[in-house]
Amino acid sequence: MNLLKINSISKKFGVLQALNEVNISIKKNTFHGLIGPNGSGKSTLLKTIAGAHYADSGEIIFKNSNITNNSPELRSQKGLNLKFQITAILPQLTVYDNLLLALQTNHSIWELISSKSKYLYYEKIIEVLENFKLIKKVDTLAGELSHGLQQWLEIAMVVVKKPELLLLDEPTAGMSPQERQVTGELLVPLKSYCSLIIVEHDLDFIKDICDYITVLDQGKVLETGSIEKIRTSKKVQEVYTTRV
Amino acid sequence: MDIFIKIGFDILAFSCIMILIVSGLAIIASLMGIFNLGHGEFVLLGAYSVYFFRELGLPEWTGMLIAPFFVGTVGLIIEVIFIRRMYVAPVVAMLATFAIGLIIRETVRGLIGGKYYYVDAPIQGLFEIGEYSFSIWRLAIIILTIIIMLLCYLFLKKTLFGLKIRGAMENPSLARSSGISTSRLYTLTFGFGAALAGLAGALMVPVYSLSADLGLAFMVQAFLSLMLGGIGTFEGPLLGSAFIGAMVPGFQWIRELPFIVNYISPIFSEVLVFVVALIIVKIRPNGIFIKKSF
Amino acid sequence: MRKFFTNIDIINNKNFKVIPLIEILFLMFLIVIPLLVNDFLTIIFTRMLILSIFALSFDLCWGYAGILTFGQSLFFGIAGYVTALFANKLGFVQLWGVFLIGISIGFLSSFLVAWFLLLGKKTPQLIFIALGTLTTAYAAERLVSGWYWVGGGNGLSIFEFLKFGNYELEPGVSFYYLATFFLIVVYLLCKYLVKSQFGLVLAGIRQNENRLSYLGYKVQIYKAIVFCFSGSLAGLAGALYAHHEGFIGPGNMGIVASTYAVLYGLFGGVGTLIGPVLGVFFIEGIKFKLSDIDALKSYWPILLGIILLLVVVYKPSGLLGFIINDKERFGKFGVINIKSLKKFKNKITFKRLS
Ligand SMILES: Nc1ncnc2c1ncn2[C@@H]1O[C@H](COP(=O)(O)OP(=O)(O)OP(=O)(O)O)[C@@H](O)[C@H]1O
Ligand SMILES: [Mg+2]
Repeated sequence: MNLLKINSISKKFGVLQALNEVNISIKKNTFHGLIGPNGSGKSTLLKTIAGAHYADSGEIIFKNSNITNNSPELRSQKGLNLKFQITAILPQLTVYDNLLLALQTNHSIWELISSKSKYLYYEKIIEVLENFKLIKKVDTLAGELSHGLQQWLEIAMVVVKKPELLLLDEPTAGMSPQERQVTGELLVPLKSYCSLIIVEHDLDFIKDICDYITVLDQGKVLETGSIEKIRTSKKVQEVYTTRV
Repeated sequence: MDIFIKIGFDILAFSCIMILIVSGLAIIASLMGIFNLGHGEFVLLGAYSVYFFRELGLPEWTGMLIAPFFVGTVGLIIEVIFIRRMYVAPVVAMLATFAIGLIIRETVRGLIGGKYYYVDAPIQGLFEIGEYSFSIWRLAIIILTIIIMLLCYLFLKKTLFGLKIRGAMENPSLARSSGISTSRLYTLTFGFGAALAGLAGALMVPVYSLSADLGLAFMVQAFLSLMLGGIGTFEGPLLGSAFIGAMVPGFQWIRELPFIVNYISPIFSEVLVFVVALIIVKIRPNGIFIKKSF
Repeated sequence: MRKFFTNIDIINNKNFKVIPLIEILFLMFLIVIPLLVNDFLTIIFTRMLILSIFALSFDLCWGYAGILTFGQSLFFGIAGYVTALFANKLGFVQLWGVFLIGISIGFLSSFLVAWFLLLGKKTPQLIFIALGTLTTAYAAERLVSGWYWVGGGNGLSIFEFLKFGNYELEPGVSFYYLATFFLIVVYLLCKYLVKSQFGLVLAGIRQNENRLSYLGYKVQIYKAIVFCFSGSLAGLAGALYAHHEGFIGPGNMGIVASTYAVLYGLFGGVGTLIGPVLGVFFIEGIKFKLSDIDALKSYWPILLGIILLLVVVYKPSGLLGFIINDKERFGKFGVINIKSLKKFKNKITFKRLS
């Protein structure tokens, strides 16, 4: 069954056709890599799915409901979460508070004012911090973390919400090879409950963890399918002279 | 029939003043992302310089000639000392310009007191069409504005520097990475925007009289025009100013119709302009003239 | 479970906190003032207390929710006018009524503004809110100054003293303690709010509004709530002010009054609660000192502008920024020390089972 189905989404910025009739479907519990040259519309596609941009035409179906016109908040509440390309943690809050914030979205305002939810997530947060190797930094201001740790923190913030679809925009950008490796290891266990769309320039990384790959070029889907299919595709090779 | 010419003329004259003010505001906003809350006080400063030179015994036009250069220089200095430090934090810059506006306004108030001053136009007199008479000075404002806007347009389209400005306007980060010295560009733009505002103030002081709060009213109207027109294009703010420029005298004129003049105070029609403009901006946050929002 | 605890031993936040100390010292200062100074000065201090509530209302918006408002004076002014009208036209000067009028008029007017400026399908730009509030304050000032029923440019005077039952609260010591009481209550309410998990959401909004909406928060609703709450506070301040000064005028409603709110907040230090209160006492204190010197009197507004500019450009964290470090200013919302954890351990397990 398809978790997410995108039907001919188009998006224009002024005269620039950033997305052109894009169709993608994502199955449950699969990892999907999204690759393509710079400026091919990868981030735009993720943002359109998450609701940062609204598509000019086309529709987005998530868990059998049409979310094309839903606000980002609503999409997030339905189980669809985005990690931005530019890290967007909250620099002046501690690591712990960043996660606490990520978890309290479903509480009513009154519950928040009376701080009812304050102690609820303690174990959950500690657990995810342990997983993401951030436990020693639990009391550090997030802005003081190294770049790699900030990326992990942001992934942790979306992962901790147990989303059904996770959108990661270049999660390993600026990481060392070791950190990259660890990031992959952190992501793999998610497959038990969650699908993933991941934008990456590091093709080895994609190959290691993804089941399917979609190649975007100039806002169009060039090719989509299993790793094997992409590897042998003529069209892709034309665009990508690098190894796949 | 003549009455419509009269109204059209009033609207045109007011729109022209708005255009001069708004274009300075708009170019700063779209280039630097900074909303200059002290812009009204640049207008005030321009108006004040005319008064200042007249007090020295010089003819009004000296002040009008000097005003844009004087205010432009003030703008440059402000940019170099304060604004430059805050490119990364436009909101802080906005607060700073608010404070600068306060300083200029209160300084002028300290110099002229809480009174209104009238300044004669350099070219006086009226011309007549039918039974209505028109002020020649307003006509001069209209013509001057058109000339200045044409020059600006040509400057932006035809010169290398104009090309840089347009580039930086459309994509600031790209411009920076392709080696355009944005900070010099910003300084000059800020000075230029201030100069335009100063000129507007100098030109309109014979029409509106000088008081310390002069800038405040124009700032609010200018900002509404800017938001009505949308930011980031050359034409948008012009159209926005024309819109506000039509509403202000238009509402005033409607209010003066014989059957309502006794019921509505002049202030009410002024406030009504704000209300209508805000409602439109609320409905069309990217401006009335921009079709697609992104 | 054990594993968690050992890890948490790393965290040892016995950092010395400065703000509570300032708060206690300041509270003691407030309590003893009327005993030390004459009636005239007590009245001046009372005004500062009332303005502190006003300053807090700006701080909540800008310092905590990131709403740049130049319109706090609008709510202050409207509430002041309404209670002055009640006093003048109906002879109603009971304290409880004035309190209710202040709060509810402040709430209603700020609700209307919030509904228009903040809520809606599209997220409003910061400039729209800043300008919208500025325009409304400006327009309101113009409207009342041209409206003769409310006194026009002369404003409204209140000739009767505020009453608590039959007891007259004359400006002076009794009014002073009344204002102190209100300020303390308001302060504690604000403190509770910003320290709660709601405050955590606000802290998030302030730092990265977008991130918060992608996490699933309806950012505009939170902002609107803060805006209305702070509007109510501004209204309360306005109602008290009108009765204390015996006067309310267009000047209390317009941009100049809002500028003061901005100045108090930024000077003292937005994003802390004690900062704006100190800001009021400093600014109003300097103003009072300067008003004795005739030569400087007319330069005061210029000086204000210069102070504001210097603070904005060189010390955005304000006066408090000199005393406290960033970590204390931003604050912490979660519980991560063992003691408090043990206290709530039962709660956690309980929740888990249910
Ligand atoms: N908000 C926007 N306004 C105008 N143009 C935009 C906007 N966002 C993206 N674009 C343009 O759309 C095109 C696609 O951008 P996008 O960020 O989706 O590319 P990408 O595939 O993520 O590239 P990269 O690998 O560099 O991250 C680019 O040409 C970009 O300049
Ligand atoms: Mg991208």
